[in-house]
Amino acid sequence: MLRVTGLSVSYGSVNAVKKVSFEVAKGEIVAIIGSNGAGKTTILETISGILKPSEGKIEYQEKDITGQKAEKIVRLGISHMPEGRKIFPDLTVEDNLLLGGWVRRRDRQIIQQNIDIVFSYFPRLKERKAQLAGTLSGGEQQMLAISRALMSSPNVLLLDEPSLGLAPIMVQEIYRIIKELNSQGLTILLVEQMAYLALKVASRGYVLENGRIVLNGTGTELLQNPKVIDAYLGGKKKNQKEKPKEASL
Amino acid sequence: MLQQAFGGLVMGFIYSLVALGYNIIFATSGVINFAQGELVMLGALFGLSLLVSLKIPFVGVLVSVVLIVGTVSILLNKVAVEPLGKDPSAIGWVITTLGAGIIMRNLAMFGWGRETLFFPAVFPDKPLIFFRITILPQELLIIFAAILMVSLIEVFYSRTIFGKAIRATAHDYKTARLMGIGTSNIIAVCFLMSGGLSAIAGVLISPITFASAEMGAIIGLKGFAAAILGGLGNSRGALVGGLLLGVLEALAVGIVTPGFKDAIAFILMICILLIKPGGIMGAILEKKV
Amino acid sequence: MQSLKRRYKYLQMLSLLFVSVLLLLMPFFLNTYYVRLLQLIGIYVLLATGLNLVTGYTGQVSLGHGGLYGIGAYTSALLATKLGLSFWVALPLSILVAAVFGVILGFPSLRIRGPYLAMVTIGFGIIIEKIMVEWTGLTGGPIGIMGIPTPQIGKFLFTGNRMYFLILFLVGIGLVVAHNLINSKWGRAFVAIRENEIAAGAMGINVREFKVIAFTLSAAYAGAAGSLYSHLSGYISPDSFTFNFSIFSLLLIVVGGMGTIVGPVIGAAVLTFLPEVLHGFDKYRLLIYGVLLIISVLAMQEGIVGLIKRKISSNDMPQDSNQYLPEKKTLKVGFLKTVRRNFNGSILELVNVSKSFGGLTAVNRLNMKVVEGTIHSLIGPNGAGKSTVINLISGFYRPTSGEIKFKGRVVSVFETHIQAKSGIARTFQNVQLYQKASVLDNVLVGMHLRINEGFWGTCLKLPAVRRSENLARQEAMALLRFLGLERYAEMPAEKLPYGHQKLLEIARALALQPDLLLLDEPAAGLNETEVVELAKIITQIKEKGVTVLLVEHQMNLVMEISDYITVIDYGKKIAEGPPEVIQNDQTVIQAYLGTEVA
Repeated sequence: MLRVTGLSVSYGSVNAVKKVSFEVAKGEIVAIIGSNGAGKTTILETISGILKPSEGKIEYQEKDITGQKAEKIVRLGISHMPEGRKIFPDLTVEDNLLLGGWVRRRDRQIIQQNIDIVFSYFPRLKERKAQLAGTLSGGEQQMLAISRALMSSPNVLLLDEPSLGLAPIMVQEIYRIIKELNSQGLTILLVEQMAYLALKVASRGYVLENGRIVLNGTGTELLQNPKVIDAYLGGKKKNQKEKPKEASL
Repeated sequence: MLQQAFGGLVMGFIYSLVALGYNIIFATSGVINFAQGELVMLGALFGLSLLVSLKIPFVGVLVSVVLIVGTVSILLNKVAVEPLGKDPSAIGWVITTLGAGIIMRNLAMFGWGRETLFFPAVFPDKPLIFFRITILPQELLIIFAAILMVSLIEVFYSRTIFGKAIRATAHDYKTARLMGIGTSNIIAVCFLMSGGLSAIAGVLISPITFASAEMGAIIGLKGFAAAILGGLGNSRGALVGGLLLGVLEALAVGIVTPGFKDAIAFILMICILLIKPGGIMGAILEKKV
Repeated sequence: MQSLKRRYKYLQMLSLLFVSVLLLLMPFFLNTYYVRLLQLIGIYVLLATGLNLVTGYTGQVSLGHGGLYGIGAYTSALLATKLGLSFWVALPLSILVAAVFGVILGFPSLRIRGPYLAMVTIGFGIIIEKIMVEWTGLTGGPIGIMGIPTPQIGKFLFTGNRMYFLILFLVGIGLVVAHNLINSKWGRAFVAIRENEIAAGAMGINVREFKVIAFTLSAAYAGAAGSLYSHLSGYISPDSFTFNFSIFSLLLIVVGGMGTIVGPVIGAAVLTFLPEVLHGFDKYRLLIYGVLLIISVLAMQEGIVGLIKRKISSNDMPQDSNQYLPEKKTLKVGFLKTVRRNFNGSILELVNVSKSFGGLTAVNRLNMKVVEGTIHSLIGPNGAGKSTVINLISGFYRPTSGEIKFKGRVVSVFETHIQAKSGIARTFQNVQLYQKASVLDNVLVGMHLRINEGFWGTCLKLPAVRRSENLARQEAMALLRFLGLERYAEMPAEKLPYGHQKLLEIARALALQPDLLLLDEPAAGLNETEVVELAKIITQIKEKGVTVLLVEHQMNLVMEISDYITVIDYGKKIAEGPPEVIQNDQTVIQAYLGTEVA
């Protein structure tokens, strides 16, 4: 469904992501985990056309979509829920959803259908549909952010830190829905700092450290791998497993 | 006294329209358009030619100036704003929009000369007396038209999906792009709206102040002062700021000589910026590093 | 490289000599009309040089210089015609009066910036213009003031060529003073403010003070120019000091080249001669100005000067930097103190510190002690409040409650430049360098507080100032060598690769000779080799006696070099202890990796 090959992205002269390759098959949940600053968000933003890669290729349904405009990518069926929810607080819940369906706005039927679908997942949003989104609780905002991303009828959903800043009960609820969406056939690429959580629901996972993929495997494999903790909290001793590749200072 | 205040109120509505013009562009692009006053001037002069030389009916004139000046405004975006990228701190576009403004002024001088031109009122100049205040029909038209424009914009923002997309873009440019909203088109539309609004302000005010190629600087600055007074980016603030400025200015004429009248707006603007940069209706946020 | 630099210098000297000789001889071969043009150019050069100080170097756009120029002109004219004072008294008084107005115009720049400030300056200009027109009793209203006398000494009248030489002399002084100031701590402070106000404050520059200084200086130049103009033409009226003239002044520096000394000179010459070349130009004047403004910004950075520079050097700017190194290679490294003072063990102490933004509490009753001479790390998941802690310690924020003790004293003033002065230096999460300034100048800005260069001494470039400047450069070079950056000394900071920019930030912070160094994610964006290098550097800094507070996500680095670690999550401390303890702490592992859910 989605294949990323040798992707590098830099901001100015920062190399945020270095030669990253991974793949998401149809119907899978794939998790990319890693600590803050590892480059996870950068990867998602490059797929959705907000950032331009310096090298590498992004293919979607066997078509090269590298460097396409964000509008085009949403239209093709890749929807991105940004980190930190980023709902539009001065607009109502309903308006937020309508903007989520911006690229399908001419087809009122689909929009109405999608609204019904997300309301069936999140009945709480239906009750609050005329409320300003900024007045929702954190968990409700997260639901809204996911719903908004579903409004464009995507084939692939990119989720950036859906657990960020939520109470544990809420996190469980959100993850339950993520699994359900997936069982309905939606392909999901999930980025998380909370590794255990993500690996539980994911069929496969990739561990990102300092812009590179250092580990990959199935969810269960990674869950049992002690090196995952190392990637977050550092090795017990200096681990110099990677040979320096770039010129010295 | 009351008479002066009323005159000020009428001017105030014009300032509000110009202030709204600044706001619309600022909200989505982060740019303060230093050529805003020149758009008002172009509206006035094109309006004059269409009305007097081509004898087009008034409503037709309004529609035409909106289209003409709106196009100029889009062009302004293409030439002086877009090439600089989205960096709100840049001083580059201060200079480029200023440059574009004086180009417009010079071109207007070619077309209409440097003289102050008489602009006929749509309605006869027969004043109405109302509670001992003399009211010109033109003044009523200004008030009516300004309120109509402000309401139309308010409805556009709150009722249409396009208006909501503009608000979304203004609030968070990047997330709007993630929704698939073509943000550069949105910004172009904002320039169009802002230009159109300024053009209407120009046509409305000219029967009272007359029209000239040199009129842009002062009206542009006062509109900006009104926008600052109400808080830049705040639509209701623009209305309040404009009216307040108009009335204060009119009342001050009793105290200072008429020539100083123009200075009042700027003194007020400087004071507001120094004391309460968020405007009388805005809040000041702590800067984040 | 070295020869290229020398050739470049040589070329500069030669052209300066050539131009000087030309300017001295020119009036004898030109008719009075062209001499008059040269006189005007001289006056514009003064005006533009002043505007360049505030707009080109300090980055505060002023569109009110027509007003300041007018104030100079009217002060001189009034003093001469009403009080009968001679030019020699009127000139300095005009400079003084304009400078006072410069202070007034500078005040808004403390609260507001960028486009808002530009609008305020337009307003200022228009108010001044209105006063000139309306205050008929004093200014003569729209008619203006006539009969302003020509400068004279005894019976020696400064007419024609004599006035030309007088102007040339004064312009020469103005340029030399501007040049001296720009190449000193004063000029570097201006550029630092232009390039990055936040980082300027963090290096100990009192941003507000220096902005007002820039406006005042700038106004003084405008005042001098105005005074000369009124005595040259003998007649002034408000028409010469309009908003359009303010735009023209801006054009002088934009076209010539902002932020360069010769830019205003070239701009004034080109824009004064241009109308002479193009006939019937007046009709198209604004049009051409507008086009020039847009083109200058969009197509030619640094105006004509920039074009010439690129032509000569074609990206091969002289990069020799050894010139500042002393003869003997055994330089005594004086840039890091090894003396340790004792503040009851902890140099920094946070007591119940909280900080909230609106309703959001970023730091919640945090207690923390940093022991002198250690590397203390502050870690925690995304959004835990680490950067807020750094910003509190360095004076960017004032705590909502609680107190911060530094060197045993409770901190009461939260202003970055004050904290810098008291011995706290920092780096930034996202590099905040003075991008267009050279690598060396970036470090020299860090020395701002320690360089002793008085204002008047710098204007005249007294030997003491020269010496202090040389010493500072040597020390800065030694610092750059310590971080392996010396070969980039003359390069603009923005041209450095990212890893080097991060190191340069450390060099700049060390230039303050701090007691406490705050490093906010120094390893972010570095490659593995660079991180290894960074670890060595930080350890060396500690060995020199500087206490380091490190915020970092790269745990390999943190665990390797830290003496002690504090972990926070949601603004609260959740654990602290030496690295081995933290690595095995269940709360910490949970905070980072989350809990398993069924």
